Amino acid sequence: MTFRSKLFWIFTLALVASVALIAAGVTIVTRQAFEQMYAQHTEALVSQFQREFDQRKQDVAHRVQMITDEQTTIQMAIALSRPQADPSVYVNDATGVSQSHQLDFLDFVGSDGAIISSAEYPERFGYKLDWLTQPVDWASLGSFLMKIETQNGPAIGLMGVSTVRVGDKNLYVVGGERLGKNFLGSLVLPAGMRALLYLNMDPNFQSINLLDQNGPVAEGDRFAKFINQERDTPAPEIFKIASGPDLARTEEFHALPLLGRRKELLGVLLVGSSRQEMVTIENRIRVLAESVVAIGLLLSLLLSWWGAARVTRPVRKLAVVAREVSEGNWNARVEEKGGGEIGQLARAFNQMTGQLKEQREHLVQAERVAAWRELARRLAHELKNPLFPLQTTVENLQRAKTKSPEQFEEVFRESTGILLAEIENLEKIIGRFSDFAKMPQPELAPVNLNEIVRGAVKLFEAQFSAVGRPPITPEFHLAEDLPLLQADAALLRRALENLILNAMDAMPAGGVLMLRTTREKGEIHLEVSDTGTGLTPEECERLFTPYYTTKHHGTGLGLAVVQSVVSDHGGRISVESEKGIGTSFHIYLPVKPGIRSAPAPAPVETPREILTVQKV
Amino acid sequence: MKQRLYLSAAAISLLLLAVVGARSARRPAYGGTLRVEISAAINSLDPAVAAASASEAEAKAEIDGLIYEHRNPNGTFAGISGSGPFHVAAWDPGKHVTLAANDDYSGGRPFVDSVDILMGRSLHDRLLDLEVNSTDFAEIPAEQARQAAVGGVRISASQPDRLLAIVFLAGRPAAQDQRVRQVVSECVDRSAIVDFILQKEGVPAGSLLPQWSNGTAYLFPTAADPVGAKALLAQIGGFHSLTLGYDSGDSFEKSVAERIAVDARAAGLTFSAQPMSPGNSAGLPDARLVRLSMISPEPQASLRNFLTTLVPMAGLDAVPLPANASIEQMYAAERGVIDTYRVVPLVWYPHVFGLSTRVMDWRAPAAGESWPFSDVWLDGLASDLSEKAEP
Amino acid sequence: MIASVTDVSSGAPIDLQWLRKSVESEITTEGGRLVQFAMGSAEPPSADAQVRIAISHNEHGYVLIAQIALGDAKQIVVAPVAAAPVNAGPPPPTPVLQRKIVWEQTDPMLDFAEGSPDSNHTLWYILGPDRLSAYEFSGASQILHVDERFSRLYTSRDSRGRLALTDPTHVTAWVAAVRCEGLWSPGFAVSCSPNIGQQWPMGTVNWAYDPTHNFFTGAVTLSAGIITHYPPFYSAAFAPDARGGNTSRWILAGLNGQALLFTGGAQPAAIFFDWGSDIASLNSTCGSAWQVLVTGPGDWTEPDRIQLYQIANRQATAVGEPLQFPGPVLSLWPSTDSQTARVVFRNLQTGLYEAATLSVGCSN
Repeated sequence: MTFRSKLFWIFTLALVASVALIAAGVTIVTRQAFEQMYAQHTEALVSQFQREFDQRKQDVAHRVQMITDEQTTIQMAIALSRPQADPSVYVNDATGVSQSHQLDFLDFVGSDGAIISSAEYPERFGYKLDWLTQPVDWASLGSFLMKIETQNGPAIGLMGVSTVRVGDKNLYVVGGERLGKNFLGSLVLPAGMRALLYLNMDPNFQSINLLDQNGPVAEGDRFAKFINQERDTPAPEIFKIASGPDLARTEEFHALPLLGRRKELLGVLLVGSSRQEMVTIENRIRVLAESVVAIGLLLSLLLSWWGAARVTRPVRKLAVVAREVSEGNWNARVEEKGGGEIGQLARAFNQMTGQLKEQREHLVQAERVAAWRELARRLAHELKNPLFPLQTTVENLQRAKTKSPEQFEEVFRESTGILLAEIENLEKIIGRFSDFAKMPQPELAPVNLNEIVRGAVKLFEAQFSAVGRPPITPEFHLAEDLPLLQADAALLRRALENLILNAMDAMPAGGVLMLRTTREKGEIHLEVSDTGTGLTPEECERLFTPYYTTKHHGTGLGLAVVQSVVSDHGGRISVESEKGIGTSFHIYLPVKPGIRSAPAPAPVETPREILTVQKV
Repeated sequence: MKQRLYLSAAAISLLLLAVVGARSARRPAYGGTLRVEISAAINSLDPAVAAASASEAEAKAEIDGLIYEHRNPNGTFAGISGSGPFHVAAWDPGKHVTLAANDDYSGGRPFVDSVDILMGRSLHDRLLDLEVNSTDFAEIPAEQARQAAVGGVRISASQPDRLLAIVFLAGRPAAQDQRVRQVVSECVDRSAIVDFILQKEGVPAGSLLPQWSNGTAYLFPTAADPVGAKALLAQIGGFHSLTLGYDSGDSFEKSVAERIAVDARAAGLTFSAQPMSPGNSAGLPDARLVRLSMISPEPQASLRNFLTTLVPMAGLDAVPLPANASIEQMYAAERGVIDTYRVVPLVWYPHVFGLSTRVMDWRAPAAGESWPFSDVWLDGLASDLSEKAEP
Repeated sequence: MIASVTDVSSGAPIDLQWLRKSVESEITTEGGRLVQFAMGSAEPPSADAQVRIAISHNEHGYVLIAQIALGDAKQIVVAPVAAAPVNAGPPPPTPVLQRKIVWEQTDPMLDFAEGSPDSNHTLWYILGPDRLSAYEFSGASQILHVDERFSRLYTSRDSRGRLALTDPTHVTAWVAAVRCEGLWSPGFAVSCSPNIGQQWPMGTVNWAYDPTHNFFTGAVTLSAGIITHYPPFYSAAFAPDARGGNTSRWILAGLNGQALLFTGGAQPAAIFFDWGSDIASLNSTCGSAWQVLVTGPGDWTEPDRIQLYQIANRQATAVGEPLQFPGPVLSLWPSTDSQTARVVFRNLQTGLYEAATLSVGCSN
């Protein structure tokens, strides 16, 4: 990724992150604020509803009191207070009075607690309501909830009790409204709210007892868990119920337990408010935030692009120049514009480049000198080896001159043989030096690397299974779909031969020579692995240094040649090795060569004396 | 000191009668049309044609009693239509019938010239018309009598000659256990039914015949024993649930059935009230409320008639009742039925009639007797003072 | 009905409570229903009938003036009211009705007669709807009972009949359209024949009877053979002209419950209300006015009463307390000399038909 790209993405990310963070923060804060406001609004509505409910309780008590104050009721009480009073006359009175006062329940009850007339259960005349005759101040109690027996089964009623006292006799008026769908329908609810009523009349939750103003609520079982919670612990609670995956269909319910006189749970009033509005607002906020983020993203992209381009332009230029420099154009310079850090960087780069050029020149010079020194040393070392015997042999000859002709002849024969061998050795040494010095440029042509590999191995087949030598087994893992390579087949073969030779040298006890070719992303991967003695990491570092060798023999130029060939083909080479396990050489060659032309060797200030060896 | 005016009866009467209107003398006056309203809609006056409902049959029998020679003890009619005190002068089936007096009726011409009968009138309309004197005669349910009287309606009640009873239907397994039936009999508060539902227009019944007819009704207990019933039910054990059918169109039966359900529940027995419409036999109940009317003040005739109905309905063994049965034999027959608890008498209650103020010489008919329209006369008929003559 | 009473007289204050009780009692007896009785001049609320009674006073005494509104009809009725007598001295003798029950039986009875041919025998004649019975008593024991039935030409639900004794052994009966003669000769024999013309002799006149119904047609045949047509009536009370003239006075108990007083004219001179259907003149020694026995209104399902009235100046004034009967009076016939009256009634409690004679005594 380029610096501009990185900078672009950094700017973008930074802006987007900032915008997103701000948007998220604003969204969260706003949402919380709305939630709070919504909660307060809901609380207010629920309180309003509770007040409505309390008002209804007072209304019931008031209506019961009105019945008590009516002349007909008083006359009834007076008549019933007389001895031998006949209550049967009034058995049907409750029905009409209840209708005129819009009460669902109404009982006229005598002083002994016996029902005189009942609107909700007319046939229960004569039966006693013992709870009524207990010493309770009904007037101060107001209205309360209780379970009422009716013709059609039990019901929950909001009841009030009032008393007419004549002498020592009481006439009780017990009236109330049924808690049910009609009751719910009569309550004034704020818009967006609904009320449900659960009548706790069965030992277990029954969904049919959960009512709204239209009757039993559909899918009432969804409320079972919350109702059971209330049954276990009657207390105001808030819970949410979702009607579907859409959050807008979530309702928030305030559960209000309805307790009887003895604090028994008779019902649960659920005041629900739809979260649709809230969710809609939240969605709008979210959409707005996302829009802001998107716009911010877009803007940040543009700004980042502009900013990155603007910031990275001098850096790019710097990079271009740096690449040129790295490619060898030591005269490339960056335009030094501006006074900021980039300008400073440019100046520093130019300065550094200049210094590097000088240093490189010095280094090249020094390397050249070092290389020549090394070469001279190596050559001297190499030459010295055969020269010493030459010298010794000549000295022997000189000494042999004093000896008998037969001894001189023997010595002369031996010495001449040694001289010739050492002279041949010298020729080899000089020949290798000469070869290395005059490594040709690769002549590219489409080549099949697999064939080169097979050809190179074939050369050494005989040696792999030479008598007196532990066998070496070649393994081929050659990709058949390997594309043709633009390369110099001879050079590649030579490099490969050097690698095979090294592998053979590393497996004195025999082993496996594995050769693999694969195609990897526009490159061809050639692996040459052995199961030899392996190299240490330090050895791996110096492996491709000319004249570096771990062998007791050799010039140490083999791998340098390999590296040179690989480098000339625009590839790269690496080594993996583990002591005692083996070594693997990995060569990566581009399919389409980006052959780096080797820098033209700098004019070498060769030493004035050149050692030339002519082969005889 | 205040003076007392010596107000002669004449002086006051002068005022009152000017308002109240001329009142007839004692002797029955001839003339006028007796206006009658009934609830039933009668589609045929032919005795051979069966009525669609019990109320239609009852009303039809009353009218047939006016147009036929006389009614036989077995409920049939002698003579032909029009051979009685009245004959049919106008007939609109289900709506209206006018009966005209027969001048040559052997028992004497009725005092009224005609009887005009409106059919299908609701109780509310009948009571209203009685209150405003728009009609002269209407039958009133016994339980409405008191309220009607308070409202100013003139009420006349017969002897209690109608029996309301629970009959456990034959072949219903839920009531096979006699003890369960006994529980029902003991838990029902008959006095409460009489006092509150019938508004004291009736008496608790423990027997098939009323005390005034047979004289032995007092031997059958009527008091409720809820404690005993509860104990008996506990002794029986198990869960018992029965259904009690009642006429869905009859508010009196509905009230009684509901009350019985309450009493039964207090004793621990489920005895649900089940409305039944005429002709709909789907879902037969275990028991039902049955109303029986005496066909004669003679206890023997009425008892025989009751047994004819009850024995097959309740699946009783045949109850022997010899001809000219003595009081002991009748008592034994009743006891034989009552002791099975398949028939549980509840209340005896009367026929109740609402009359206008102008209906005179009205006597509530005896059991089995038809409406005595032949004997009543109408007061306050318009006088014709134009017929004067010089002495 | 709602009544309100206002005292507009300038005399002493009136006991309105007592007045109220009287009015309420009368109304209840009539079978009406007094809904509200307001005192004073307060406007009474609406009802079927409203009566505003004002107690006024004129030179002759107190006057009750009633403004009666019955629906849209309005009527003014004025009734003079006598104040409590203030004359000094002993009060005048008051006629008192006396009753003696003489017979009872289970079968229906229309009339009865008693005759004593001699001091040892008493003959009783009982007329029923379809029979004439004769009883002979010697002392307290019944010696003979003859029950003679006769066929009825007409069957009326309210049969009427009357007996007249020519002499103790000769009785004539008029029943519906039949006339029967009963004679002891020595056995009791009855012969009946259709009563052509349906004439029933009543003193000096004959009343024409409608055999298909229960009333007299109104045709009264006078002694001179002149037929006077009156409105149909159930019974009549006759009083001779007090001044000895030829004008006779009749009170006819009409079919509509009104008793009409005729004093010789074609139109009734007065109308009396609240009278029953059976009336009979009585000529008692107590009091000098024309006295008439009158049964009460109502029907035969209720107890009855007989009230004595004095007719004077076209006014009928009730005298004394009414005589109560435990059942309806079925017939009331004066004796020949009008000194007594025969009454047949039915005891609703026992169901028996009872016969009684009525007379008027004086109480001081």
